[in-house]
Amino acid sequence: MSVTHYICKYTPVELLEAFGGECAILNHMPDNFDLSDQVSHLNLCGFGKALLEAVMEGSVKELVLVNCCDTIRSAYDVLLEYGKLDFLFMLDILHTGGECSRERTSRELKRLAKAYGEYKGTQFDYKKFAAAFAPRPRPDGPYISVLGGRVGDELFAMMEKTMPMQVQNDTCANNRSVSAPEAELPFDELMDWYAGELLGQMPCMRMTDITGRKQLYNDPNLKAVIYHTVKFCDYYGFEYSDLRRQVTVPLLKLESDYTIQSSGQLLTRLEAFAESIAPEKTIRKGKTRNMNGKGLYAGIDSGSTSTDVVILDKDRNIVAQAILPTGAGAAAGADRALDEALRQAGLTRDDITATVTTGYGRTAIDLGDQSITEITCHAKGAFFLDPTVRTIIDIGGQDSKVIRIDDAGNVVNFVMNDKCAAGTGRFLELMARTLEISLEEMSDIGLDWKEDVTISSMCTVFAESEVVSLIAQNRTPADIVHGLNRSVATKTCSLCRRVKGEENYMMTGGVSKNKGVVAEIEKILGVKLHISEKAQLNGALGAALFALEM
Amino acid sequence: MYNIIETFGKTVQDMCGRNPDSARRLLRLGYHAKNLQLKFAPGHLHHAAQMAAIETTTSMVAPLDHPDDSVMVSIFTPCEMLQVFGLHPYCCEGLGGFLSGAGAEKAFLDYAESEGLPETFCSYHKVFIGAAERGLMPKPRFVVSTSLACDANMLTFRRMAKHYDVPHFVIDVPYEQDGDAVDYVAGQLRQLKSFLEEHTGKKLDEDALREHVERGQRSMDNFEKYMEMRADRQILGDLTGEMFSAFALHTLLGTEETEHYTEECIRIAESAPPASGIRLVWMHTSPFWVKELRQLTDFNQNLQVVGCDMCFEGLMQTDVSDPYKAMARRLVYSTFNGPVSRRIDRGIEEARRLNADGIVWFCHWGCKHTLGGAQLAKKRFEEAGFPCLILDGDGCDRSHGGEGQMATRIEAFIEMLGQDKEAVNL
Repeated sequence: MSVTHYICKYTPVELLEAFGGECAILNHMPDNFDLSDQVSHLNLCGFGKALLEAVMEGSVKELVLVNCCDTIRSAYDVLLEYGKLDFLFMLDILHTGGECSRERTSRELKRLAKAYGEYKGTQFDYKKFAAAFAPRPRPDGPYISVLGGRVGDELFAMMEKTMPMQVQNDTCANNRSVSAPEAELPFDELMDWYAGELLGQMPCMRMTDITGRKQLYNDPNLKAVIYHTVKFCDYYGFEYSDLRRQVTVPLLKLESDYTIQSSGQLLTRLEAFAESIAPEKTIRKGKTRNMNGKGLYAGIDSGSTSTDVVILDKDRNIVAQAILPTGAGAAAGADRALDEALRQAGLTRDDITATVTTGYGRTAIDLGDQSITEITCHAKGAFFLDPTVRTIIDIGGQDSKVIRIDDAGNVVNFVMNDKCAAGTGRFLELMARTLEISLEEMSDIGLDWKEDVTISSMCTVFAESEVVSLIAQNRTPADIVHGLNRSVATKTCSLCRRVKGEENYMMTGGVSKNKGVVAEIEKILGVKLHISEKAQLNGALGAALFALEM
Repeated sequence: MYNIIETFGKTVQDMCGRNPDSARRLLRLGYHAKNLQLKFAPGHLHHAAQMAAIETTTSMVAPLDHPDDSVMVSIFTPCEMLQVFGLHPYCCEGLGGFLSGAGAEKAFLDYAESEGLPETFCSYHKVFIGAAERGLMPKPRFVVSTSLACDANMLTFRRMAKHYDVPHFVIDVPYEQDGDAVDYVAGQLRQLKSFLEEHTGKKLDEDALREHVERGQRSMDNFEKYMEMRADRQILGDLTGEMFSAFALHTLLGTEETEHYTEECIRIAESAPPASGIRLVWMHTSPFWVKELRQLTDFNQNLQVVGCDMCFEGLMQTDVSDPYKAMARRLVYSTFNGPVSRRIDRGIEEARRLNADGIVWFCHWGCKHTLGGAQLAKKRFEEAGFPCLILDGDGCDRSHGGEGQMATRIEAFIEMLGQDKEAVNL
């Protein structure tokens, strides 16, 4: 028997089952949106595209939608034209829960009952209807709640695997809770009652009155929140914007585009969050690989551009360090960098008591006893270099991040931008190439500007064309570089605001060497940035410190 | 001219960070100056276009001049009742567009994003939120919004009401077009009347409301007639003018100014020369900040935008004997409501009426309704004999860039249309 898929918690699942339907919520994340992009638009929300993809590839044959949002209404339009579905229905649910809304919803339920009954060739069966109401259990102990926009099954499984305690899916479609009927009623009356129950659920963000949503984050067992948004879904970004000031438990903002590919990129953030909320469970202690080591501890930071190594002695003194290009493979790059550091200090691998790896390539490296995310390691390293630091701005080759730490050096919040080159070292590198100057020149001339020019776009492609037209307008390279620096600084300071950055600030990563960018960030924040000589080694230093504490 | 605007925009943005009240005064001054320029040096604008531009600019300045009598609304909110109460609608899309027109959008967009709002959210709304929350926009008396025509309305206005801590009234528009839906919306409009009476302490003059709704209907009838006449006439205008017209026919519908504007449109059409050049129907808002595009579309004998669905989506015959139902009907039967096929069908109907050569479907960043229906629209338009260009861009956020690409696409499209017509020299 084919399955009737649904996507929204306001869907009358029990009614469909009363007609013999077998219902399943659609939360699958596809590999790509090839089929969806052929019939719709790239900038539709990721879930809308996942829905179109599932129908177009033929894995969904019966679908009941609710006019939840612009994307779902658009998906319905597209499916009416292109979808080869056996059954397609969209229920019109209003944005309010009053009496008029209930009457209208009741009519919609009867319209669906008629259409679905005719399609299935079955009659409404009250027993099946009553049996279909399944109470949704709440966690009975400490838990982490996933809130916000719907989360794909695959990403949720990753969350469950990464988090140090039970995870509850409270995202839009998954926090469904409809009470069972107390007694059998005539069908019309039953539908009136059922409409009220459906609308009486805790509201989703599309509803006019959303005050009932507070129950989601006022549970004493709630220990942390992962707030998930889907790219190009607007509703839940607004709730996140409010929530980040209201919740007192740790909060991680995560955005996915609803592909499996994007979920992989989110692993670092999830692991870093797990490390920050339960370091005792996620960062192992007392397990060293080499009991014969000489009390030396290695940290390896495998970044997109360079692999950095720091070796510490038991007194936290740096005995060796190396920075080498990562090259084609993270593992080989780590081998080379570690060997170089050992060579400098006249050591061998057997002398190392414990090794911790970090950075993008950390999981690809076999050398380490443990891998810890670069977020936690950066925080550790920065706090070691300067215990007065509370906010770390790290702009590397392929991502930029801002990390907030407390007075014990623990991560309390962080935000990362790694979706594209916008605001990263790679962005500046490409612009320097367009201007035909070196990165060193770029660092200096950005301070020597005369006229203010605006670079509107942070998209590498569009910014490059802006730079080209500024060159054509005879703007000086210094003015253009200043415009670029300001653009990167604005983006970075926006991240600082998002984590509620506090003094003192430290800047690390390759871009901390760019004097112009540093000056612009200082100007916007109105504070002086601390830039350590060891800034580039910060991640490796943090990893080595963790190795020492293992 | 562009440098003056750029400097003005930058000053407003910079000043807003330090002293929002001064920034607001400067903005007010700028818009008053713009109005003077429109009155005394309108450039190529014909008289009707000049009237729409002045009417819209005046309405944008009014909330800055009289914040205590301002009401924050969306472009689709019926405003006749507000007009009767002497309140000034304070239109989100209009102010977002105007701030962008003044080159003052970036700092507000950045601010909104730094507050955690999605980068992918509609930029008209995002500019508006950023400007409001940075203190540029004055506190309105209350907020009146509608669920038509997009999700952004549900989000922006709820946030604004909370931000300013003012009452909020939402007109919820069902997806289906039927009598029940009209009754449901009319019922809400009657509740709006009570809401307005409660918060202003005044009684609504029902006769005055009827007069405004009747005037609105006459204005729509005039505009329909103008569109009929436009079919075989050449009326040169600019793309921004279509947006002014959209405001005149929405937020300002029911005012004497809009009625005069539509009467003037007919007079302009009566004396216009015969049609010539390529004629386009434009679907959705337009990226008026793109100079390269304006150079192609504005006051060009060889290429004219002859209609825009932001203007004609709500034109209809309504029975004005019940003003509440008449206003409700406009919302329920707006072609932006319900399936996108309604909007597409209306586009085809108007393209036929206007003797258009092609249709541009402008996918404004973040507008899911327009994006989602793009491929479908192209297919249907082409089946109906109208070549269609899907143009991606942003109506007000310059950082989304792509000016060159947009101009190239439009030019190639015009060249393509020109192959079937006489040779066109752009």
